[in-house]
Amino acid sequence: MSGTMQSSCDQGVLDRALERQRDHGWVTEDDVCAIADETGMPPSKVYETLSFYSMIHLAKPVTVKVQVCRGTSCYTRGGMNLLHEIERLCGCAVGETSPDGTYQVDYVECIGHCETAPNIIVNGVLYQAVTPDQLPGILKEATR
Amino acid sequence: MAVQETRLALRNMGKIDPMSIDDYIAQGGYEALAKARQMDRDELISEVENASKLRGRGGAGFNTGFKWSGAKASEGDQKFIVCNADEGEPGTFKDRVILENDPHTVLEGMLIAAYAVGATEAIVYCRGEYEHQIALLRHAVEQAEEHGLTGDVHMHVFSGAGSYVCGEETALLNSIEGQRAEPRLKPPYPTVAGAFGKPTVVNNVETFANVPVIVGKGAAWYAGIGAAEYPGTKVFSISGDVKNPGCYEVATDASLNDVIELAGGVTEGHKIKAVQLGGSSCGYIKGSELDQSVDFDSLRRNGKSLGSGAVLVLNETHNLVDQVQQIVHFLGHESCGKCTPCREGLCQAGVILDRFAAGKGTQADLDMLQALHDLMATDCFCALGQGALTAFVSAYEIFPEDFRERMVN
Repeated sequence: MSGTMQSSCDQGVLDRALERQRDHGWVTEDDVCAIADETGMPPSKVYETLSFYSMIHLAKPVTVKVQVCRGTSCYTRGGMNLLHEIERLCGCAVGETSPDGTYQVDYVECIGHCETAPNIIVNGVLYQAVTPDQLPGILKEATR
Repeated sequence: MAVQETRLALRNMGKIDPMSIDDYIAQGGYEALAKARQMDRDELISEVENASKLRGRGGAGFNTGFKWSGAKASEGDQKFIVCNADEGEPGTFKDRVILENDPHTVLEGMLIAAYAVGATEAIVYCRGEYEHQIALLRHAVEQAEEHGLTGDVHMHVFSGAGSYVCGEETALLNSIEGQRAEPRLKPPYPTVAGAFGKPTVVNNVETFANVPVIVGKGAAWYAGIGAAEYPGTKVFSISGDVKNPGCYEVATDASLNDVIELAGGVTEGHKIKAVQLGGSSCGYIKGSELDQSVDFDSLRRNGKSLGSGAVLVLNETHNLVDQVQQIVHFLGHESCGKCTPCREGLCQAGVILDRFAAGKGTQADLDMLQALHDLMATDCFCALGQGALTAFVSAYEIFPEDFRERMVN
């Protein structure tokens, strides 16, 4: 127990997963096995843990992931207008992937930048105080 | 005369470079830690517990020193100090602002707590979305170590990875241990068996940020600020329909009106319909009833909660049905799924509120929401489920017309 505790205490399981994800975009089966080795947890347990968290991707991500904050502050300041315009521009509804696989549109829960609502995240990059007319430029930038 | 800000937790905001420990030290940083380490541990805890009466700024308002004395008294070959920086309450961004302006004040508060309870492990658990703040914290920890300030305490910064329920302290402890973030049954409380089963103090970012001030200037000085039983200041996160949204720190005897005035008041040409104070699990306050003190206990006596100090200002153009619908879908998404009343209750409440949002609500739907609230408030495992329909109950009580407007005739 104490050996496991010391090693888990130095770096969290989530940190280990996020580090790999930053490197190559998602957490692969090899990554899961490596984390299992490092922490002394069975791979099934590592999967069980990682699958709980919405920032961990256990499948290869799409080219452009657009997330619209649905915290009450963003909602209050026009987040839904942005969502509808994003759905139109990307050609898919929230929770879905566009037919050509380029875009995925989703919600993100309150991201804690409420003073600049409404906010969106595109491929991990935060865009603040977004207006609908900025969206085509933001999406175009992300496909580059 | 308009109220002024009183900055304690945010005392260094704009004055220092958050990357520079020298800047922090030049402002008197880490002097309180040195002073604390000269004090007797019980005396130090008593200063915080009885003299300063510092109470948790995360939302529960629990006496901070009482947690410390509990952890100190618990048997354990190893003890933990954990900083809850998993700020996920919608409309709340004060911890982010504290961390990105002054990470060292949080570390200093944690080190003082570690000395007080005899802890050798100190962990900041920060929500994964705050990547910049995590980098700042890690940099600050390195600097504190280089300056020999951490002593025998090992400091770590853990990233979350997108889970609101981690803000619940026992779910957070499970997450630190590499588990799914499901809350634990209490008791045992973390002060007895917390991280890895060891005695653990879990305090919020803002709480720790106040500790160096209390130790440095003295508990009596601190207790003289704000409300008698909830002294000091509170950092409010103000968003929604106001002119200058942002964080504002005021003494706890200020009124809600004062706080909103600091943010420039409601946006031009509108009036305040309601304010949601405390976050998504809290109720609404009518725009005409904002002249009340923001301190924890006065609000509680009025049936309101201070919560995290989130102030979401809503003008007259909003129908609260839409607000409640968003909240219920948010909480449904973030429910950990461990207990049935929360998992299924939020799913059903979401279906019903979607009907209202589409203008197809019925009286039976309202009755069902009320019944779900009554059930969840008592039977859910943790605060996420217990307070999930508080916003609905409050919205319906104060603005029943918003719901009638969305019902079939």
